[in-house]
Amino acid sequence: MTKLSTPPASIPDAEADALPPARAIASRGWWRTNLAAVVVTLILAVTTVVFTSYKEWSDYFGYRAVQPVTVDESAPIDFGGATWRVEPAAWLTAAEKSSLTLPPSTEVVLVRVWVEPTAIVPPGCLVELQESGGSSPTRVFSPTSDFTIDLDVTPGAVAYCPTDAAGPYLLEVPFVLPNTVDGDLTLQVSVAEELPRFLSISVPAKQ
Amino acid sequence: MTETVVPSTTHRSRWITAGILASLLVAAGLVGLTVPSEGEIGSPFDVTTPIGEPGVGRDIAATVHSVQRPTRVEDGGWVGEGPSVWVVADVAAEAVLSDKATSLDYAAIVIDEVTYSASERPSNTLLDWPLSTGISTRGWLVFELPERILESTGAASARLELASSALNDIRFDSRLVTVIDLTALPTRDVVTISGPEWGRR
Repeated sequence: MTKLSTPPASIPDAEADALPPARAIASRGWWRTNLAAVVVTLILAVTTVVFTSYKEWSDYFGYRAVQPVTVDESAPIDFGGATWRVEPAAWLTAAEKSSLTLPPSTEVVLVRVWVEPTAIVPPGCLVELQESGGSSPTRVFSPTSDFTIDLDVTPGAVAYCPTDAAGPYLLEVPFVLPNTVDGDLTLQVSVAEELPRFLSISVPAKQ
Repeated sequence: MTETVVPSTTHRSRWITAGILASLLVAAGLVGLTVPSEGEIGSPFDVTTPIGEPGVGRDIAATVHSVQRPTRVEDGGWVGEGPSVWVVADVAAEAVLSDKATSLDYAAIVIDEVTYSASERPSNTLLDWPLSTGISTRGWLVFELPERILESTGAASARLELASSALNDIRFDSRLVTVIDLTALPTRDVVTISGPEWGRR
């Protein structure tokens, strides 16, 4: 058995007697000796993880459209410095499509939104159509330029949200979709300053 | 003089400490062995398909319909000829999930780990062309390769690589790969490039 040496001879006997014997130190236990340090370390570790995660995830979702504000068609809503009213989406008929320059096996849905700016600087916007719950994974369609498909838009209508608009205007954008679309369609209108909130308007499927 | 007997718990705790240290060293060694190399960190995920077969990645789907090796490429008033080796690929591509800022902005032929990007000299190619979700666009990609490239060992197993991305960043994203034998490509005198055709598969 290993034996520890006795306290150094330079230590007086009385002082040596006052030193805690090794058995006593061992019996205090590692946990008891280091409990405070362990608790502090754990608190710091958990705090670091919580704050870092919160910062990263809030940055990630803060600039993405992840909180839909559901609106019905034709119902006006104040959002992001303007009043928005989305007209019922119009699917073009075969006759209407025949005069356009379209890829084969596609459909066209025309979206019209009346926008009345209420802020001093009218908001810009991003308009997209999302398909979800169909045979394809959730996918996003951007508007198509009316020039591309030779579409005659309503006179005075615009295809984007002008930040220098002097008054109310009509936002009119066509979406060209493949005829494989079979999921639920949602029109999404995002205003950068309002993210992660965005307007979500259900678009009925083509009859 | 008093002799103190070391308790057995002290021995045990020393062994435990040594064990923990050894475990940490072994774990660090394993991490060091399995950590990706510098070239692998952020590398794209390859989807390899032969000519004529559709390849589907995260947000790009494409079919390489044909690859040819003409002696002369014409695109409107532009002509590509001379000592360079010209390779043209007939490709149809589309976005899978979203067409927001999605274009075919990465197209390259890789030979012996040397990357030759698609030529920007002809203007009517599919390079940088915006892709539509679910609607295919078909067009040409033109590659200008060094004169003696067919003599290189890798010419028989060149990689035609395609990817779409925002800001030309294909890290951690899909890369469609078609392996082609440049030495066995069909040759033509002239290939005339026409602009990308929306809706054609």
